[in-house]
Amino acid sequence: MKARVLVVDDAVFMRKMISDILESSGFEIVGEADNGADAVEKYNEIKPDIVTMDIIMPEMNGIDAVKKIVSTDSSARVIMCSALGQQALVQDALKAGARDFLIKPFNASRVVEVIEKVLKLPATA
Amino acid sequence: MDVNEYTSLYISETEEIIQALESGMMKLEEDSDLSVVDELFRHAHNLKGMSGAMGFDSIVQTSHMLENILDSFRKGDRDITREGTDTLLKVVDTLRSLVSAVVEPAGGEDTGDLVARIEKLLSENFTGSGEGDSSARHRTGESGDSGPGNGEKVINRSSTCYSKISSTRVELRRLDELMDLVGELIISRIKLSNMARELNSKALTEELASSSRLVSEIQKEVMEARLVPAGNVFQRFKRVVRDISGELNKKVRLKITGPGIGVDRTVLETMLDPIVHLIRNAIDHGIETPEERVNSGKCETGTVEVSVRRERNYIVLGVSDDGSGIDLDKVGRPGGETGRGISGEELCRILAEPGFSTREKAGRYSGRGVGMNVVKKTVDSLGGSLDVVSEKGAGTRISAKLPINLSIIKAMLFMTGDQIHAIPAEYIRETVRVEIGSLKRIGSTDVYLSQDGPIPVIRPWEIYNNNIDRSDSFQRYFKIIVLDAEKASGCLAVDRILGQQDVVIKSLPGIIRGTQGISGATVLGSGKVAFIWDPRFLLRERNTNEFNQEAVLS
Repeated sequence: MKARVLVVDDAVFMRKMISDILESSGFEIVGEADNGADAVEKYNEIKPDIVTMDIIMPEMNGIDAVKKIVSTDSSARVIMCSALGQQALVQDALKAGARDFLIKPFNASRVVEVIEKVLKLPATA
Repeated sequence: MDVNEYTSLYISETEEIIQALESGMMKLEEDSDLSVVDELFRHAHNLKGMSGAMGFDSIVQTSHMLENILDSFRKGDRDITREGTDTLLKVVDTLRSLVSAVVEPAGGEDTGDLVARIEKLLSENFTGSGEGDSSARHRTGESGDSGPGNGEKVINRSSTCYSKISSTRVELRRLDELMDLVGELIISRIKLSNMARELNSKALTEELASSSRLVSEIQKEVMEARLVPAGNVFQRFKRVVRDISGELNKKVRLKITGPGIGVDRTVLETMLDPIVHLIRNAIDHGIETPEERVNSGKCETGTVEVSVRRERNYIVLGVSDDGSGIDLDKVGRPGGETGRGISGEELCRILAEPGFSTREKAGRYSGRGVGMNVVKKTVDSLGGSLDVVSEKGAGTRISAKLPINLSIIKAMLFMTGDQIHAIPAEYIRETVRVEIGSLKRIGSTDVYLSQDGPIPVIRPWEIYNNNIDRSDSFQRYFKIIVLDAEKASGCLAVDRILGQQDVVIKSLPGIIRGTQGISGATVLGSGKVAFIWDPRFLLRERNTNEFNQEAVLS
């Protein structure tokens, strides 16, 4: 079965780019969100297999969104997307319960590799 | 290849980001709220991320510098000053040129120059940002190794995710093309209806009626699709207000009403400069200095309001201020008397006269007496009308009423002699069949006695001097079309009225373009060309009794 992905980023451009990469690699994009609050809501509604989460977003940032998601579903698989130079934020996100991270600009094979790796991880971290 | 798709998405989203950066920085100036800094940082960050994905290193580099400055605001390492935001705004301006230079390398400015300009701005105005610069360069160097090459690979991936996006961005050129095609479709529809009538085929007529409805629907949809929210464009007025009021040492707040209302893109673009001009006028002539305002019991900060509203098939764009109003004593009538008690319409005409100004000396922003004339001409060219309401001490409001659609209008077709003409239906009050003897003569003018009073009769050939002796060409009865425009009325005497229909306006070819009183031409179902008359001109001419001998149409 195709893995179902929720793509979270406040830039349409980035959402399209990551969706394109994932769909062409056989994943199914089941939802998109452009801020953390919307991501939490969509997560609870859709229950995707995996989430790609931007860090810097309006309303609720990606780290707070991870905390919220993990607090209701400890088996949630969230991958952070960050730019170079945000190592500190990535650390925070991993502490908050994110499973792994991707660095923008995205490299298609790296994106797929990380997602597949995270999908194979045991249900609870 | 999907590169184009990404590029256009990149361009439109970058535009939004740059706009947001600009308005955010101005907000920052009003109060140094850290949440605004966060928001700005996020925009700069997104710009960096997207540019990185596209492999546009120069933009990555500059947006990174911007991030550093914003970060230092956020951490409190640096104070937010007016000079600081001034510089940042200039950086945003340069960034805007940089984006177009990067996206369209041909014809644009040199990207290296632009980056250097931004670096210079930042290092001159923010101490310590030199360090930021080098780290930026260092970082882009890093991403440069893996960035662009992989970025390209990413872009080549096929796209299938449109099904999940409920809206899409369409190139404006395509909408324009679609609008033109709809125009052609309407002409072809009219031709077909004429044929059906000649063939006297009921089935064909019925089928055509339903296809007519579909064409109208398409026309409506395309028109709606061409509308853009006025607010998108109005944001940039904030900058205009900020710059001019700063220069003139006045305190001015910009209020925007109706930003969500859709306006045809061409109308909006054409009106941009006129509106900027009206804003300038409002600040320069209208709004008083803070001291003057306090002395006259007003709030220290003046308000300039730019408003949009939709009135049936019109868009009303208004610029108003709560300043001193237009000094009517300085607005002399052409006759030399002072201007008290003149109507808005008349005021408008006077203000729009070339060279008119209440100023003795031209300032940097206004007072040369050129602007209002240009505003009026622009509004006229769009088929709209201008109105001014001004009260001494309370302020001025100038509004432009513009048609929502520029290329297709409802028109009444009529005949004089063997020629078919069209007149926009919106100006028509009624059409009446009149017995020839029922007209009255007042002075040298024939008038039609309507229920609302006498209305002067205009005979088209008097204006366009057709050299046809028409005095006995009327039957016992003839038709008149009663017109209202610019608060004047008149009625047009014609031989036959053919009825109302949608006509597609085509601009006149060069040699007769600019003929007064003719706003365009349209192709009829028969393939014949009919001129579209401008009732405002007819009524104006009727009132001044000056017939334009040059405008001979045969």
